[in-house]
Amino acid sequence: MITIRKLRDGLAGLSLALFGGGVMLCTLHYPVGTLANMGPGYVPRLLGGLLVLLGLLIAGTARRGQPVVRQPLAWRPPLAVLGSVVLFALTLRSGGLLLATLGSVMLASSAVRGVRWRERLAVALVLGALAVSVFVYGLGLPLPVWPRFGGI
Amino acid sequence: MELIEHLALGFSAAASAQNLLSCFIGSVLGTLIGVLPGIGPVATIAMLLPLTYGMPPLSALIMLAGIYYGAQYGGSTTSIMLNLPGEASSAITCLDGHPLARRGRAGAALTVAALGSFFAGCVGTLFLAAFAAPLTTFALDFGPAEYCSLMIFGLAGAIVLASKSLLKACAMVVLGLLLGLVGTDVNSGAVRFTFGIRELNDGIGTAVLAVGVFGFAEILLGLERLHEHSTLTARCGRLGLSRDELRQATPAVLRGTGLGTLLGLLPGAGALMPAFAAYALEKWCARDPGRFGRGAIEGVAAPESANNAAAQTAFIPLLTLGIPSNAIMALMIGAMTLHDIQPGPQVISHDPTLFWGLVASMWIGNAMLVLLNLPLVGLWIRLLTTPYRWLFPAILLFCCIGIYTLSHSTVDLLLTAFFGLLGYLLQKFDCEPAPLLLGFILGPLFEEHLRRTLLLSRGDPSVFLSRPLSLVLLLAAAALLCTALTPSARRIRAQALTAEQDDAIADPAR
Amino acid sequence: MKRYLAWLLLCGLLALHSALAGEYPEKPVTLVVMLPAGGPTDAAARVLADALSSALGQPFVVENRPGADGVIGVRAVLDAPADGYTLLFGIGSLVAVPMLQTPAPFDLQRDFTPVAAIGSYPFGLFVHPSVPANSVAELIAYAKSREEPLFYASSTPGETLATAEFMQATGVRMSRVPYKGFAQALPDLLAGRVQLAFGPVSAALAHVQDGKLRLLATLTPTRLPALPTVPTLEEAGVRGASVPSWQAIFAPAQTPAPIVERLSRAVAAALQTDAVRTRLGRLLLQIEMTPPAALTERISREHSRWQHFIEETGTGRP
Repeated sequence: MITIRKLRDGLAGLSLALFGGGVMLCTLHYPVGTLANMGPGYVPRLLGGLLVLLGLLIAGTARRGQPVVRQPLAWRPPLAVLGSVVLFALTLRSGGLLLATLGSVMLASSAVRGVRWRERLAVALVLGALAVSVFVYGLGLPLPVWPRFGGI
Repeated sequence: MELIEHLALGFSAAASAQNLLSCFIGSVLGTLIGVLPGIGPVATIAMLLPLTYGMPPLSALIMLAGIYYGAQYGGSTTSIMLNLPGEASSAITCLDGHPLARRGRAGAALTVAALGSFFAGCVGTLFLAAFAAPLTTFALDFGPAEYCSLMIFGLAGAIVLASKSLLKACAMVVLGLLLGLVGTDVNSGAVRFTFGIRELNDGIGTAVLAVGVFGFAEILLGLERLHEHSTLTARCGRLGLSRDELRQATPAVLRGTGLGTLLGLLPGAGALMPAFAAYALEKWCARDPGRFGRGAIEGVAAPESANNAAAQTAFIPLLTLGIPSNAIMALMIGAMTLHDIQPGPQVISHDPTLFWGLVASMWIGNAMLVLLNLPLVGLWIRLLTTPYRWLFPAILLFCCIGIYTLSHSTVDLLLTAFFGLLGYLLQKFDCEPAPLLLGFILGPLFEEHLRRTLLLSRGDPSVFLSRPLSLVLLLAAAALLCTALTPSARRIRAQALTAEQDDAIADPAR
Repeated sequence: MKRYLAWLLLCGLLALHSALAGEYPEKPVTLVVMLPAGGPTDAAARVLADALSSALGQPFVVENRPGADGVIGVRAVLDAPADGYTLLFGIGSLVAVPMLQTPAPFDLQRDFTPVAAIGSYPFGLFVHPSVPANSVAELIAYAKSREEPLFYASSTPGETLATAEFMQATGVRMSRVPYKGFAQALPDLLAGRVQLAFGPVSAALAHVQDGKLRLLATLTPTRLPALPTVPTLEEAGVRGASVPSWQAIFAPAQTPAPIVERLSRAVAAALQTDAVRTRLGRLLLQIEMTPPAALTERISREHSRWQHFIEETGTGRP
């Protein structure tokens, strides 16, 4: 378990400044143009610089005396939840809606510890049936329901 | 009274059995779509278009319009219940709607949203009926310079909106502005910040960002907050409004309706502007702005009313000038031409039955929506008592399907997951996502209008000050920023900050 | 008796054969539109998909895959198997798009085979009434007499191409003000902040009839039946400027020829029916029953026109 202490504001500010710097680096390729005829780089470079400034300000003014809140950073929920979205994205086209739903719901529900797999499977099956009936048959969305075999 | 005569004509046309039925189907379908996150009314209207070929033009338009305002309506439900903006324009409703729901006041929030929307819809419709013809030029007076100043005003508001650190809010706005610039530059055709991903050429989708930063991040936070067998809210509370809440909400509804009605007339202002401006106005007038963001009923009433009022008055530039203010309106133009109606100044005079029939149907549709939604409030509340370990996979799944169907793109889904992570990290860093979303939506508009203004003025920036409307907006923006920096506003923010920390400290003990 | 049985057997075999091989189409067909739902192109595609569904007995589903000037939709069709079940509803700008991006994401002539041309959207030259010109000649004279160049609105590469060709042919210089789409340019055009634009006739016709805009010429080969008094740009004395705005259905190049042929015939038949003609007519789409071969020829003609133009002016390159 990782705890984020009062470093929080400093870290936030620095990463924002870093991002702003990255943006400015990217805009080196884009022409800036003139005030009358701004190029694609004009506004982004301006904003990137502003973000660097703001980030440094945030980092610099991070108050030390602030009461520190222990915020546990658990890895399990983000991995399971966001992973299930990625899994859904990767399996929908080839595996069809039903399989993609089953897989991603099973993965997502592993975010909560101590749920029996039978219960998770039941939820996945119910949601799969619901998704197919509401979206494909109800709303008529052009989504594949079944897996595609052999490139057909 | 010419107006009454016109409305009588409209109601007689809209009250036929077929038109009532299409109005009903449209608003029910719209509500359903609004409730399902990501699935936009655009895709639905496009799919239904062939079905309307066989209908008389009025029935077809009534149904499509019903989907449009029904979706506005339904989008607020998921915002309140799940912190999930079903439509991008209802993202503002999340700010106070969801905290209300977590405090067990979901019933009050939903009721206020329904009644406020109904009231605003009626006023907007009346406004449309009375002033459609004289107001056509208002939209034309708004040139690029005025839009640019309006965006600056909006960005100033986004900073004031912050309930925590001002500096972080500024940084979030700038970050949003930068995210909004991803994609093809309108002026030069150059592609910016896409890193070779073709799907990014048209920019990051609003729904992608909103569902990721608000919805997915909220699921992650919810999972941290809750224990194995818990539900989203411990108490259900009373369904109706208390007298206090009613007293607080009524003026907010009135102000929101007024502001939404005006902003709806501007086709270039973007979908989020009315709701957001109304929210900022409420916070600005409130005696205790510290309540906002933690479950203030005005924070639901005002943006919901503004949203719906604007949804009605947006028909003015559409019907009288043929200028769509969003993708749904563009679709309506397509539907009209397919039915041999040329949207433009002559619609009112050439086709009075159609114009007034459509106006009257909006009134009927809004009434149907209230009748439909108020009984549903109880049902929605029941949803919150479902164990969260069953509820969150369902939310996640519906989001995924919705995002995918937006443009049948796998990349969009991966991006949404990425923004979910970003939203989660931002929350951990105590940065608010609302200014980010506003910067994101206003950013491209700001850049486009800024560059166009300077092109047309041949590089002379004094146009912003020499045009009266633009000057007024810039002065208002300056005033807004000044009030945020006054000592009293600072004190309130500091209070909110410590209160938040008290909450956070108290949380683990719960 | 034996002969009779043999016939029966043959008939049975034939029936079995057609049941196994299947007559195209035996499952829903996807028609990819490379523009977002709602525009005139999408509307035309849906009219056609509707007609084809009832003619061929399988649903033709319109799928909007907008983005990157149409490249995303094109790639989606090319990535699907070339079996006739994924088709592209293409538009005129597809010829130019590969030239404006490096590396070229596709080659329209190599990767696709045209199924059928449907028609094209007529474009026109619109000016704000504050411009003292009632004809193209007067406009040219006025633009040359001014000290500062006039502003023109443009959104698609096609409109920019037409304006550049117009300026080249007449020697007029104008400043470009870019917009996302013609609908976004309309408020500035109606208010006179931008003085002229080449735009789709259907989008601004109502304003012309209302006197809020002036339509000086159409960019079509012949005068529009709906507007017999408006000359074509060529009649007005300017040659060689037009917006490539054709709409056509394409299939991936490897699609079996019988399927392409069957689709071609079905589209041609659909374009003959009154229902389709009136619906497309309302969208102001000029129906052109060009055979696929003629479309191929037109594409190669436009290809060289674009290439010449891009090399000469450098337009479109960032």
